[in-house]
Amino acid sequence: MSEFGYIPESPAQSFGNNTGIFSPNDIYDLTRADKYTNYGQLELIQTIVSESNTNSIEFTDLKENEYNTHLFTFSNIKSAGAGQLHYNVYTSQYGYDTNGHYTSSLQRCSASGSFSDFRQVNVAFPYVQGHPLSSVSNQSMNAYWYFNNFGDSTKQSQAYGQTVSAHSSSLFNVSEYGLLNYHKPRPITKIKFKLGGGTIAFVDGSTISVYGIKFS
Amino acid sequence: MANLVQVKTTTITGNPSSVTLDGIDTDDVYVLIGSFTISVDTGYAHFRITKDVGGTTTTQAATNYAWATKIITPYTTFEDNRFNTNRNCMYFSNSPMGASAGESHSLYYELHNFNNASKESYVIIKENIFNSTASNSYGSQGGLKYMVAEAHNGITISGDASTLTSGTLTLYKQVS
Repeated sequence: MSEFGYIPESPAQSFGNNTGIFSPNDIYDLTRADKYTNYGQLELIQTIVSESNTNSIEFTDLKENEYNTHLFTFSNIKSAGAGQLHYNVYTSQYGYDTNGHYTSSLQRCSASGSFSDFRQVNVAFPYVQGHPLSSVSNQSMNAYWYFNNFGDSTKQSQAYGQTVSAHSSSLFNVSEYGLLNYHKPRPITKIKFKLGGGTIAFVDGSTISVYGIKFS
Repeated sequence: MANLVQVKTTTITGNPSSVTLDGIDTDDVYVLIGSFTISVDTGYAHFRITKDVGGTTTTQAATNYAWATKIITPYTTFEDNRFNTNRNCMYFSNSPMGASAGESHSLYYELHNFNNASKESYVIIKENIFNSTASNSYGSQGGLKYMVAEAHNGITISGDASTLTSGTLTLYKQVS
């Protein structure tokens, strides 16, 4: 609406501060620009599909200052050999930290054999799945993990998650659920996943996605 | 993948004894996600269900809480944690909680059947908690059942011998 012959400028739009009446096209454009208020969405940050027999899958932009919780999904993870999947985080103080600042504790559930605890304390390479992945062509590992506190300089990062895969030798189903902790309260800006300490390649097509969940 | 729609969020300030997140009014699955800290290094935090009583959200403290979880820690043998009677709340990880520098308590709870007046309410539990004794990660996974078939509208988290000191807790509705 003009006033005194002037046409006002359109108000600036930003997440948490939208003004006006929006058409579906407006909402689409603003959402893509992260300027439309929609609290609580699960937002895809990045998907990486392994190629060229890479030895690591790395996320270098976690948007840790935008999201309190990060969800990682692991789909069709295939290993070129029998190796555990582990992770390392990157901080400004330690770089990719392999200084034994991690713990991992996983309840292993096996379709063949007994259930068991799997525990690692002060390790350099914490296991996202403690059991070695199968390298059989028609089998894969799938999982989800929720991480908290990546962007918080006062809190240790914590994660909980669950995996399902095949036993590397007997080929029976193996699933695990449990906890991961990084015991340094530092902002985490990058994360890298590897197999067998980085000595084993991901078979092409292994897919990891990271999503952010906005609290407010 | 289902999307999450925020129903209510609370950023903890002023050292409250409890926070309540309500607003469950559909038959969808709801999710409680958050991270918080407590004031005392040997304190507890309790989880209770709420219901709408004449327009007022009311915490349910009768002995109707039953749960079965596996306590998971990298430092010792995992434990079964289960109660079927005589519990008027669920306490996080069945353990005194830590409040040392850098320690917080993260959780992801799926809330099922809360809005259904003819079914009991269920919670799928995933949490990563610090134990006070040795500042160890001491989380758990499993499930809780509130043993009354009635509609519920949210949850309350309260400190026991402690207050809540920081963090954010958010209730989402899970939509397809």
